[in-house]
Amino acid sequence: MTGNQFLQGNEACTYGGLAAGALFFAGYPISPATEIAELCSNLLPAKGGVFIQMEDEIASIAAVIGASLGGMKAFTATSGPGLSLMQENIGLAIMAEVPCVIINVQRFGLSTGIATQPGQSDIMATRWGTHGDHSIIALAPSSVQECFDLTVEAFNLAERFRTPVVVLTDAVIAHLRESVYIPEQVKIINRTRPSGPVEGYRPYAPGENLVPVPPNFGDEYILRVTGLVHDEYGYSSDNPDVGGQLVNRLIDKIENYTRELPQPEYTGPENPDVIIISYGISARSALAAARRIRCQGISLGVLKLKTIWPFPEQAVAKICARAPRVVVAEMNKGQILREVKAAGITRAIGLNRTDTRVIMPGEIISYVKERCACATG
Amino acid sequence: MQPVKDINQYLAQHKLPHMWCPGCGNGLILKQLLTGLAELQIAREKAVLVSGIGCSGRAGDYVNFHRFQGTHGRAIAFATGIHLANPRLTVVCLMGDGDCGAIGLSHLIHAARRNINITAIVANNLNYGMTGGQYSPSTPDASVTSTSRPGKVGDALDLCSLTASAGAGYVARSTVYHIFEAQKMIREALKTGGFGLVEILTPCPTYFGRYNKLGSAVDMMEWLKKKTVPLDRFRQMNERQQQEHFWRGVLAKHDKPDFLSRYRDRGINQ
Repeated sequence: MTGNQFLQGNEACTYGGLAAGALFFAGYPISPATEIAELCSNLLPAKGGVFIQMEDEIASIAAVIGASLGGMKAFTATSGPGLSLMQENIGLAIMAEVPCVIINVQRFGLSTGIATQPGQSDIMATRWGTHGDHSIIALAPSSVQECFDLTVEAFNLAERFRTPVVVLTDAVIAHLRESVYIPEQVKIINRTRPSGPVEGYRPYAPGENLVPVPPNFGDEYILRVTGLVHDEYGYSSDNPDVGGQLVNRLIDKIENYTRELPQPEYTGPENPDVIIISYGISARSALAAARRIRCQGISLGVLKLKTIWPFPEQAVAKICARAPRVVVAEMNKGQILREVKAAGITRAIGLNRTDTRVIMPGEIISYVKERCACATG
Repeated sequence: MQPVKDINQYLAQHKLPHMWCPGCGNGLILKQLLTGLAELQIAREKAVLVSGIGCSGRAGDYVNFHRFQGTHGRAIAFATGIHLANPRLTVVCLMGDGDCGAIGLSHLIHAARRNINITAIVANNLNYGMTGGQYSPSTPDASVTSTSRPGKVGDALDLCSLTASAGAGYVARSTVYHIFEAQKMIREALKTGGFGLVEILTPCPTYFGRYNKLGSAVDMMEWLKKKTVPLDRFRQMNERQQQEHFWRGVLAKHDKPDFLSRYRDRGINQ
């Protein structure tokens, strides 16, 4: 399927995955992510791929990890409660450096919340949900086009960094229908494969950019994978130096290369009175608010995040230096606001909703007028 | 048939000696798996050992072919993905009774139901060894463990019956005392075109044996010999006798297409 299409966010994520070369999907039905599984079940067999509906989310991510090591690009889709169940194995995928993609369609609430209603409150669950020190990559689309583009990007980053990548959409973006352009070909990054002598080969020896070059199961190079601390041969180890170096490398291989991740997009005047930082569906409202408020003589810029983790500290700090007021608009109690403040923008304030209602443009305008009074002066 | 010494190609010799306790049967079970691979002439790079967590899970450290050790209980779910992505691989799950029967039970049943073409070998030492001898689902009623000092409450889970009734292609049980029978079963399971399960009872003199005063490792082997009876004889026993014994033998054996063949057929027909 190429050219201009009128698609739902979930469909666009699916087509993005397939365009990136995904051939394996394992999942467990959960609202509001189900359409991704349904579409995969239809499309994958004809491509020689496999769809399997597993017995639960834990098994789903496990099968995805297995399939990736078996040589297929693999993904799953879920929502908050499913993401919670997957956390232990996401940690394993980080530890064992297994590329895979998890599309998490955020819904409202902790626990089972409200199954069909949107939220943006899995930000910290995505970052810190698994135990142990680690880094992770998460991307947040704010349009159906970005659902396609960023899912492709997610697969590319997963292969490039050999790590799981989370795509954070939400129930509104997932079910929104918009025009999407699907190109004939997208830029695809495939995992690097080993070369050189088979004997003495070390699958976890760091290669370029600290990323190792393990083979797939079935290659003549032997792959030893474990969630235990392991040496460069893949053998488990309880040596403190091996453990320390491994965990630090797993973090550095991502954190040292954040410039390769999608950068925040700024829209607005050069030196605005107020900058709204936002992402996902909330960023759409912020952009609409900026267009409307311009007529009222207020200078408002919008900084839309595409990469959520690692948080793009430097880019955000640099752009926000231009504005006296910074507002972070998000459908949670301030999960990204904390990161913005940690990036040194201590003046930032939050516009937060946690009741399934989307933050509307009018609400942002009123908030800016009330809380950023000098902006209107 | 390849000579048995060919198992050396699958062994990481430099990682030996292994860390298992004296008298543990895990080494024997690993040897029989490697013998099975050698006899079926499975190329080193075409085999994957997916091991569980716990004592038997450490087997992966001693093999010199593709291996995967994931999270507790999920071996079969990982193996399902590995097999579906590359069905040319011989995928073997080596798990303990705790790993497979407690936290991982659902994956076992569903892989059997789907008839996924993988081989599951369960080293059943009747307790959790790695964490210090707590009771497992397959610990017999009234047995003493570190979490059941007055005797375990509740019957033992029969992994084989569950797996057979779920639809697995091959299900069998033996012991490390009856090691040649176990070896034959592993070979049969490896050859099965669908899901194969071989449960092998193995002594844990360090914990289960000590807590239940079963004597030395040798005594425990004698105990396994006495406690197990062929399936047909077991079926003739009354309920009380059955509770004091384990059956061994082949519980299920049938040829039916595995999940992936059926999936591909369905795809072509559409």
